[in-house]
Amino acid sequence: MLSLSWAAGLLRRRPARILGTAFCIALGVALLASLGAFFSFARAGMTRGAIAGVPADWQVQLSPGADATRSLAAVASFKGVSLARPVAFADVPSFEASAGGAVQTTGQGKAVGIPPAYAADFPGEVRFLLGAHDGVLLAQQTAANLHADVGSTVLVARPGLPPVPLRVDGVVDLPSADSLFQTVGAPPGAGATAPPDNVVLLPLAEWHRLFDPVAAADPAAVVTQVHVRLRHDLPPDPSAAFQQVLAMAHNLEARFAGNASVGDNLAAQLDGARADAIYSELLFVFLGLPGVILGALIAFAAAASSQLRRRREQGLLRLRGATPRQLLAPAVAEASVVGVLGVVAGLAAAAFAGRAAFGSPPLPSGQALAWWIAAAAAGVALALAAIVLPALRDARDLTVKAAAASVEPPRAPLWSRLYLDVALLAAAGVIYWESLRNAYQVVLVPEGVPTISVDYLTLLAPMMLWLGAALLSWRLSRLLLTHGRRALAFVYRPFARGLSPVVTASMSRQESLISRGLVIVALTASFAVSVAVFNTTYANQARVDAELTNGADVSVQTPAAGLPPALPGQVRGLPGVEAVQPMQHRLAYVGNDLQDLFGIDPRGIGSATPMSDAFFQGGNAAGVLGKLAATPDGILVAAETVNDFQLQPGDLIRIRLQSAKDRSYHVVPFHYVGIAKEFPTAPHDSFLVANAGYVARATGSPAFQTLLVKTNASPPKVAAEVRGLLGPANGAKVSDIVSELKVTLSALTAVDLSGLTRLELAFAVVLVAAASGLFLILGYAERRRMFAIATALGARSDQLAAFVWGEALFTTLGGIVLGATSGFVLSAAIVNILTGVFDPPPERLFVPWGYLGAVLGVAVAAVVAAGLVAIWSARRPSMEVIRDL
Amino acid sequence: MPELLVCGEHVAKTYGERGHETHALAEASFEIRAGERVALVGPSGSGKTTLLHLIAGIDVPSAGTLEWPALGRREELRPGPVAMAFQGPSLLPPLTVAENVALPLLLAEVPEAEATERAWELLDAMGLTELAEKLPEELSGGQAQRVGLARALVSRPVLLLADEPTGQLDHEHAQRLMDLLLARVHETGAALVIATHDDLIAERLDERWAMLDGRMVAEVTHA
Repeated sequence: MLSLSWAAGLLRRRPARILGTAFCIALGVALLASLGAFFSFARAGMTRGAIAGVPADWQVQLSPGADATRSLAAVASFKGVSLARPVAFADVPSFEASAGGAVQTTGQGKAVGIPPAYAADFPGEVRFLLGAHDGVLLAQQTAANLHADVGSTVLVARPGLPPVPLRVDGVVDLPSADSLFQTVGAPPGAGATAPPDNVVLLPLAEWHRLFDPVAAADPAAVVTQVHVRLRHDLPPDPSAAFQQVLAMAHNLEARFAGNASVGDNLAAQLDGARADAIYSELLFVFLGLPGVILGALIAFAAAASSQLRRRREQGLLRLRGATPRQLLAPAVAEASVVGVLGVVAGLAAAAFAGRAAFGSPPLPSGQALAWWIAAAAAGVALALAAIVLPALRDARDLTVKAAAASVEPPRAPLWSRLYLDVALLAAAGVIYWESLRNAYQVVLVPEGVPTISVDYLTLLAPMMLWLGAALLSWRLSRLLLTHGRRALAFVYRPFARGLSPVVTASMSRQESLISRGLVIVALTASFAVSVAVFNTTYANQARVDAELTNGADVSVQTPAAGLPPALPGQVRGLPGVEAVQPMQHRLAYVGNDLQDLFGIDPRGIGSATPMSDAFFQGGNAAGVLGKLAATPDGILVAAETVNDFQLQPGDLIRIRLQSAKDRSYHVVPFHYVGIAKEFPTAPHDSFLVANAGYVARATGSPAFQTLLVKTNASPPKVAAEVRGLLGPANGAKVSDIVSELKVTLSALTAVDLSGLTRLELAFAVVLVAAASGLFLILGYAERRRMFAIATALGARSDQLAAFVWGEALFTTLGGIVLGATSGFVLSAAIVNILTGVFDPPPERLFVPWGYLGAVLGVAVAAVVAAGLVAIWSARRPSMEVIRDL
Repeated sequence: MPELLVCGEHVAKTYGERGHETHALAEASFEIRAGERVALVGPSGSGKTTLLHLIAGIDVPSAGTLEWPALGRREELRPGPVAMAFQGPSLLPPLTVAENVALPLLLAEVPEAEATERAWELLDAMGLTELAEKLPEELSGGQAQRVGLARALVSRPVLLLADEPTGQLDHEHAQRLMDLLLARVHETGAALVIATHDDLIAERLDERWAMLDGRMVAEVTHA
């Protein structure tokens, strides 16, 4: 009964205290629930993305001699299979075609038999370029090699049998050739096999007519597969989905008792997503966890700001002989009201934030629901811990006299006496330097295959730095308030005038409350700065990464001999095109190592694609490219090549390049001028960069295989225009950076940070406003009697303002300066630790000044608004307070 | 005739919303002149504190007229010609006793050094020097009340209002405090209005205003 009436009374008489604390609890709950929902959403997105990226979930390869019809029926009826289609492969020794009086012959290839509607059943396997969508379909690369077109006749060789002439009905692209032609059942660790250069697709019946005789003579020359689409009712978590798909595949193989092997494309893709999910954990540790801790701290501090009042109220109850249970009842009532209000408001805010930031459904399910439940439980626990626990402690330990105290005792807190701040900072420093010394990389890229190596101790360093810096801020605040009163009074004199000693004395005696406010502002500022700087740097590097992979805003690449010589001029004339640069691509032997060689115009390349300093070693981009331009036979090589051959600048390097005239490799002399670590479109392993003019003379061909295009309009639109210029038969690949950014470039970018960024930056603004403004208001609400007395003594508005602004200035300015400093240090540390995930590593931190300015503006506006409300209310003390005097 | 400091006619004060009003002061008409010493007596809830708050300008009447002919406008009364010692604990918790006492002077823009000196002098005169560096929470109820009175006296007001200033003191301490208070107002020529339950205190003042149910029922001038 006491609890109910107390709760009702609090809501009626102390709405600011209850609603303010509930707001802070709601903030913590909303942040935790939103972040949890985001990471669940991101993981589910990874699973969905993995599923969507697989053209055929399984390729079940039947053993030679297995009954194809019965096997197909068995696979089709297997639990979880939604579609099963037979596909047959046969080796083709060569393809031949005549065009313009010349006969073109290719090397080995494959003839693939597909059932009707295969392309529709497995979208992503076949892309129709020219002609019919059924019949004899020639792969685009093969058509280019044979100079064949729709209507051409191609002679398909058969092992041990005469070749057969086939009329080409259409030209297709095989975007998933790697998985389509994989070696199913290859032993673990076996390298991936390259897909064949030459392929023809045939209707399955036609294939059987042509290649069943081949199979009869040599069963090993043909392969029969069943391509499978599974029902995708998989768990949203990539790891669980991977396990389930893998177990299903094993089960199928067991049922076939060795007569079938599963090429598990879906599990392979999910395995990749599983690794990506580790990144989402990393990001949670770096970006999410501090926010959650901050939300909890703010809620805790908000609840604790009323502790003195609660203590006094408890003291009054004790004076009137309340039992221990009765003493706790008000605290439990307050915690319940605050907890319930906070949880309800927090979850509502999380639903709104999730929808606005990353398009999550309004009501969560699966893992997101679990996060919501956890956030709700945390909210209630937080309210109980912040309100009931201190009350319990007070009821047990405090005397009535101490409970009536209005000022907290000036004793240094335990962490301060233990120098926990110094210990945390020292530990963070040691771990950080140790990780740098050992060149710890979150992502290892041996031979271009990203592997994750997570050392959670290293990941703790930023967290220790953040908390250590916050505690150090607290220590500095205490020091200044207790030992720097005179200096503070001097600083405050311009606006507090004669009251400055009293204002600073008052602040000094409320050191605990004020320092707590400063630390919360510092933590919030640090969080906002580090998240904003890291996310901006991340977004920038993701773009650089995409530019590296794509080459430029728009890039045109052909695997054939070269792009049309007139193409640069034509593209330059398109609307939205700012600059174009052709780039040669050759293969060159450095010793026995075959490397990609890029022929460029060093003076002009930067106009079409950004040349980052991080691309080069031993100098900046302008310097290295300048050297290359000044040395016509100069060459940039990989650091690995420099080590392997002990090269010194100016050394002569003899490289074998293929001549366009006789197709043979000839030695061409170059002079080593610098090291290239990265280059647009270049692979992760070793490559070479030289002057295009010199390469053209040395190889007898000025042909270029890549065109880099810088745009000042939408890259996808420009890309579409370029595709239109090239026509469908050209076979060149036109890609744009916007589309490339959406593709998984590296494991880190698999987590789309934009939703998280929106979420965190928005919360950071609210946290900053809450930390600065709300604390002032709550602090004022707790001290309104003090302001009422001052008013009764005759304090004018400006004199009351001196007290309000004195505190506000100290907590806000001090908190922001200390917090921003630690935020910048923190973001630098996080970027350094995560350097491996950036490709290339960032040259510097990217600071979103606009956003940070807005955050500062919000903080100042919140403080000013809170201060004005406090002063306005102090000038009009409530009758309740006045009559109480 | 001494200067007229305060003049109230049919002054009333009502709290609360329509339908739930509390008539804290139903009606009071009075004058306070320079040097007068008035005891405001009556049972609890009779309107003594409300009347003091209205005279001090801390609160505004709901009805009637209240003027301070020789003191200025309501906004100019504090800190300045009017000071009040409150009934309840009214010291600012984060300030020491000396700082609390010096506060009205600082609010009146007296230089810090002078304000501090005057505060210490007064504390010394009132035998409170030992308490000067203590925080309010370290004081007993009686000590806090005496410090509150010192804070009211420090600005040498023309009109001093004291709400039950001896309420938490025993008889001996109450009389000693009254001695001190009367000596001070005599020295400065200030008018004094004290709300009290204590007849012995009331008897030491020139006039007695009796309050009952929010009304001033009698004005008695001692011979």
